[in-house]
Amino acid sequence: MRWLSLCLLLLTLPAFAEPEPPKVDEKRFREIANLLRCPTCQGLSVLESEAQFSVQIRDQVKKQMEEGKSQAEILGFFTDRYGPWILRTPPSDGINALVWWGPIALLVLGPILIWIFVWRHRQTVPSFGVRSSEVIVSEMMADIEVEKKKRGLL
Amino acid sequence: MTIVALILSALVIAAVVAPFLTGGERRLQSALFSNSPERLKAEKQSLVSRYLEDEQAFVKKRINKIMWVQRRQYLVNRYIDAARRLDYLNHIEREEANH
Repeated sequence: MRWLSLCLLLLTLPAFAEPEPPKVDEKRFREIANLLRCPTCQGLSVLESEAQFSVQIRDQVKKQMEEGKSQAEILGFFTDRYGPWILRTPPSDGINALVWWGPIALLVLGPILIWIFVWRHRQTVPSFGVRSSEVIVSEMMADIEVEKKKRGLL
Repeated sequence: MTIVALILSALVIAAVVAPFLTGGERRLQSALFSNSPERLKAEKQSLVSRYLEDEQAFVKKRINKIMWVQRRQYLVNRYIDAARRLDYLNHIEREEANH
C-alpha cells in the first residue's frame, strides 16, 4: 500500500509543478528593449537601465512577447501610452520626417539658397572707363611688338 | 618775440596752403602732376622701352631668368597701373565733355 501511494505521488507530482513560462527570444527581446528610452534616465535605453520604470517596461515587453505580439505591436503599445518620445529613434513619417530630412535638406539647399540670395543682391560696380588687366596687358604686348619693329628687333 | 611767432605762423600756413594755390583746377600740385595724361602716356612708353631693354639683357645673358621674370612682372604691373589711371582720366574728360 505504501509503495502504491508513493507511485501515485510520483506520478501526480508534475501536475503540481508550476507551468514553465514560454521561452522568450533573448536576442529579439534585447533588440526591442534597446529601441525604448528609459523615461527616468538620460541617454539610456530600458535595456541598459536598472531604474524601476525601465524594469517594468522590460517586464511588459517580455509579457507581450510571450503573448506573441510583433515588434511593431509592442512599440505601438508604448508609443500609444508615452508618445513617440519613448522611442530612441524618432519615426521617419509625418511631421517627424522633418527631423530626418530637415538637416539634409538644409545641407543641400542652404548653399544654393545663399548663392541665389547673393546673386540676386549683387551690385555692379561702375568701372569708370577702366579696362581689365588682361586687356591692358594685351595692349602692352602690342606696343612692345610695334616698338620691336621700329627698332628692327624682329 | 610776438612778431617772430606771427611771422613763423604765417610761413607755416603759407607752406600748408601753397599746394592748393599753385595746383590749379582745385587739385594739389602733386596730384596734378601724377594725374597728367601726357605724363602717363610717357610713362607707358618708357615702360615699354625698359621692357625691351631688359628682354635684350636676358637674351644676351646679362641677367638670369629669375631676374628677367621679376623685372617683367614689375614692368607689367607698373604699365597696368599707369594705363588704368589714364583710362580713368580719359573717362572723366569724356564725362565733363558730355556735361
